[in-house]
Amino acid sequence: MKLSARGLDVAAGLRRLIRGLDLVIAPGQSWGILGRNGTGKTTLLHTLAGLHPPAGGEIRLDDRRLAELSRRDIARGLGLMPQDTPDPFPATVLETALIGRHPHLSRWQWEGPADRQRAQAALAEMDLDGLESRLVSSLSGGERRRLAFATLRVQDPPLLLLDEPTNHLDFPHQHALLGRLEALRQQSRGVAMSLHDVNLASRYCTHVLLLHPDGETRQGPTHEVLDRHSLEWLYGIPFRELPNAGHHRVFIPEPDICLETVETAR
Amino acid sequence: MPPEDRRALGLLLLLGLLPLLSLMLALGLGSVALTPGEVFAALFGRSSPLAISLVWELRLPRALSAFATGALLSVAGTLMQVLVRNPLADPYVLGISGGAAVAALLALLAGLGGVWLTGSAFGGALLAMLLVFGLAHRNGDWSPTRLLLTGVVLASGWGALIGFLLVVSPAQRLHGMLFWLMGDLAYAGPPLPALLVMVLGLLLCWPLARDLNLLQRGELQAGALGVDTRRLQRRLYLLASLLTATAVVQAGSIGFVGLVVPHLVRLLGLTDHRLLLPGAALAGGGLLLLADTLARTLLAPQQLPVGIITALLGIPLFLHLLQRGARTT
Repeated sequence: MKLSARGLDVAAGLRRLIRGLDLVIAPGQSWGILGRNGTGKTTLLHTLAGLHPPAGGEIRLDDRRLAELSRRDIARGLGLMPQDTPDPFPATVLETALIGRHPHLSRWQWEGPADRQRAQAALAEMDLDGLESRLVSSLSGGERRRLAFATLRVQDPPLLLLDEPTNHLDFPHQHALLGRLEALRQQSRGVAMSLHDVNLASRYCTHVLLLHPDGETRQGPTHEVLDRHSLEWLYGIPFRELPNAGHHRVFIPEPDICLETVETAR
Repeated sequence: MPPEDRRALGLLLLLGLLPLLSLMLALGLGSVALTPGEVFAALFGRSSPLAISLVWELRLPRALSAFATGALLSVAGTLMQVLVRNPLADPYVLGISGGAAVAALLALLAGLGGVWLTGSAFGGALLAMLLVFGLAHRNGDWSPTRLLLTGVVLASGWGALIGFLLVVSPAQRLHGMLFWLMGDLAYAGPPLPALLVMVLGLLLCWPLARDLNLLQRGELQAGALGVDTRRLQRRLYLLASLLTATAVVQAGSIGFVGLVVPHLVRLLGLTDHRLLLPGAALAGGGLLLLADTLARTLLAPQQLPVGIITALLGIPLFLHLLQRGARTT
């Protein structure tokens, strides 16, 4: 399944964040969305998921316009892991993972043994096995993020949109989660996620989309687009690239050096 | 069936016993006490005419009114809490009962009663509901916070109007007005309409129960998993308002039940709305029935407003469960 945007304008309230974006998230691609705070990463993901009205342009899921599809049909095609998942009411971990089955169940259908197994497998994958009957409110921040990812895995959509999936996660779990996504990508799923760690993007994303604060965007395969210059353009601080870093390029932000000095030195 | 589902179903069955036991008490207790055997005999018409008319004409209608009112308020409370994603919401917090109370007090002040009082209260509830709906709904955006704040502000406005009406009312009307404001089932109309609305309301919201499980985790999560949140919220609002208006018309404004019963049932372990909704109806109906029986027998022949008893019964129970919950999680 393919998600494509043409001439997409994204606005939050009266603020126009992104103008005229053309983007195709194809099966087997994993997109990293990078940008400073408030440049529209979250709003873009919500817009792509059909949960925020675009200010212009159109979005298609395969060849059907997103605006014409029912929420249920969209939820079977694409899933979103939100940046935070509020839980004002008590619910257990297993119940929370099982809500991922919602778009696959008919109105009168109850979750069956197969759904339950799927939920338990997704929880185990995120090291949450044994916590099934715990209340979500008793989990740590990182455990909640892993639960949100497990819920998305239970939903099991061909397209996965994730809003800062590595937030609150320790290093092993960051890599476990992104490694899981990489495996899904290789099984021809499409992935798009907002990230704040350029090195995770460099390692795990086949493509990147850079959102500049002035509304301009750059995109393309990671190895072509992600370099020191584009990062300096994007974040407005100097970067250094580690030489001989191996398979993936590694960048270190150098905020102590004034960017103008770097520019003049060149 | 997995053990946690079996446990949940068991809990629901236990909750089903509560209204039955409360009903036996309600039919048996009073100025003339009847044993359970006598109650059954009277119910099947094999008893003295006095006992039959006591059970059929006095106690049963009032008991059914109490059950229906408690169930209506509890289901409405459950829906409202999900609607505004706030565990402090209840049917009255959005100002619906305030509107109903002002309209009912105006009717009482004008010396009207019976159908006029009922119709007036219902109209007031619907007017209050439309006000909140209209004012909170702007640019198609309907945030729970704005809904809650609009409701709270309007509710305090209704409260001021109620105070004003009480001050300007002649003394001989005050007693009736106060009883109405505190909630009282002594003058409740026939229970059938309220029971019908209760059953209909439950039948209408039960198919939405899985959607409610999602909406309680926020509009974004619900939308991402395939719920048309705008349509769902509109339905919830209408349903909750209708249920509340019916309850207010039946018994005046009884506080506390709509807020506490949903939490009680959640704390017992029924967190899935497919079980929580019927559970709240059974627990709320049973609790109010029990409270009303106590209200009319504790200081007999003096009758207490049932709202006082619901608070006295519910608060310790609620605090106990809250404490227990805090320890085990």
